[in-house]
Amino acid sequence: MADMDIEGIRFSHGRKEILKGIDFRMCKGEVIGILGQNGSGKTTLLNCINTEYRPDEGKVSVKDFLIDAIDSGHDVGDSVDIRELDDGERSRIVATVEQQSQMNFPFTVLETVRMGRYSRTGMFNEEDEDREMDLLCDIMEDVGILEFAERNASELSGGEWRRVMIAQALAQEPEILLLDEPTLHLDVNHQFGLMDLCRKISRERGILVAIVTHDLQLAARYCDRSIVIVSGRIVASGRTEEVITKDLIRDVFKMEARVEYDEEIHGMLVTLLRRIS
Amino acid sequence: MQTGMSSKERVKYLEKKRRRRAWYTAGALILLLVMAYFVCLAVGSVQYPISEVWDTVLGKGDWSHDLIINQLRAPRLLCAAMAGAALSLGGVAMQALFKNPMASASVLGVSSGASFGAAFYIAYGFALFASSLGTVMAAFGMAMLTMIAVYMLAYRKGGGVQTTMLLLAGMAISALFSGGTSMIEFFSDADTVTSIVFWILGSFDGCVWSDARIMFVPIVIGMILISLNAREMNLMTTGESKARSLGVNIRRTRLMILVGSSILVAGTVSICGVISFVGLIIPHIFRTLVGPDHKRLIPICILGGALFMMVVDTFARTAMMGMELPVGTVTSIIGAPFFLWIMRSRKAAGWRS
Repeated sequence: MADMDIEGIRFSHGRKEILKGIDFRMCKGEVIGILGQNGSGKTTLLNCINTEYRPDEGKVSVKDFLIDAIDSGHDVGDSVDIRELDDGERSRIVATVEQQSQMNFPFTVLETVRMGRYSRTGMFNEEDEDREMDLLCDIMEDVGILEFAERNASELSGGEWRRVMIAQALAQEPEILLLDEPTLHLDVNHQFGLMDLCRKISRERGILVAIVTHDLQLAARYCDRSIVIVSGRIVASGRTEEVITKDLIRDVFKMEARVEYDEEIHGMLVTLLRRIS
Repeated sequence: MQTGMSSKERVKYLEKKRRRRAWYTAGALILLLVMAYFVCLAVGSVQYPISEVWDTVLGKGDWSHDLIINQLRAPRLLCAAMAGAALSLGGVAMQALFKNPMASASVLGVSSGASFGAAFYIAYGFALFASSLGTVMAAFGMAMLTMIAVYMLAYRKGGGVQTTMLLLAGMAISALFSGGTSMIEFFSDADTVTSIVFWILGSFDGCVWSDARIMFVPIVIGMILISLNAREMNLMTTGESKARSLGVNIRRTRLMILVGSSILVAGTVSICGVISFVGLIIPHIFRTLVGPDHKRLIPICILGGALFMMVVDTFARTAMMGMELPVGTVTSIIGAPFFLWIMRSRKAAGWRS
């Protein structure tokens, strides 16, 4: 399973510099939160990491990936610039769930999830069909969409569609999973369900899960490590309980909050009290 | 369906059923295609019994039957079949490329572009080098240019393709090239005008074996280029950035689909002119029947398009005694209301925005 190094990423859109030098490292088996307010550059950073955008400066490299994820030329332990990987290789290592996406064609949920298998299966489905179906069904069950696997994916609600996209990303069997506001549109039950699932897969399979979010409560409960971005710069990073503090919430999010360790859930609880005007 | 199945078993069962259904549809289409072939050869100003047609196709008929069936009707019917297959596959490909089930060669103005290229070549290129290959090449060049132009006009990075923008761009481009073609006609002599007008109407009248041969090569190339990208096309429908993150080489796929569908449109347009709406109707019907998975949709649309066109052309040829309707007008009359109906029923089309 892979680690990822992000070194000196700068990115400008037009004349506006959005990312002003981002450095950090993400390790296998951890859930990492990328926090910040709207417009701080979180999503842009994610797009630089998954090569959707080309940063002006800096690079993103992966290492310790499974050797069968890429075709040749690299050894276990090599650090490889993610831009050197071809589309197939990259998609076996990194999966992204975007904030917005839509479906115009009447594919079923199962067919949509199966699209995630693209880079792992051949053109004529030489693979064992039964095994593939088992894998897809297990993933859909985990995400809670198996009940409507045969429904038309273009007619789902926002929350259902989101879970379909997450299942699709898991079907890639990635080593690094990038999620952009994954809990958006989900009801509280599914929010917690999804975060439990993220933690579970990262623990069990050693997948690195990076979550871009502005939801401090979820981040505090579920992320092992967090980084906080303010207008394109990292202002805090480290273990979540050290990063998400009353002072930080006041300075960055302009909110008064109570942050405490809860014995019952063995985790941090953030209670937002009021805006600071 | 049996009771007592787990969700997992149910999903597997339904998936198998879906696959079987695609096979049945393909089988039925092949059967119908063979039947339609003989029936279409039999009907016309001179009617033959099917047994006679069978003998003649096998080369055992007398010379007058041979002339009408093998030399006049057969090449025309094959041209119609190839055109139908090419246009509906072209429609499928463009719909995937533009991520929009409303796209097709005529809607996007690609047919108009191709016919402008061909008309231009007939009017001015023949003086240099008179050949049908030249016409195909000119049509292909313009089809490709038009498609790239519409693509660039309608596509917004991140936002995909908006239907309104797509239709408006297609309409404007269509108008531009129709104007261009009229201009060429205006400055041409009577003979050239006749041969140009002939195409704009869209007709298989006068298609002979050499036309069928000329069509065959580009259409097979186009079909191969597009079929090779069936899986990629499924992913393309979810948007280019998503497809890329799932491992699709976007540049290669886009180029192959662009070239493939331009070849298909050009191959058809340069032989039989603009035939509208086939690329919209056929994919739509079969998408509701076997689902949007291109691995099934592509072969089925090839068969279905060929069948549709053979039947419609035979209808155009025989509907009115003593004269024939241009097939392009027939497809337009069927197709335009169909188009409006799809636009109205968003749900059936699985179509947003």
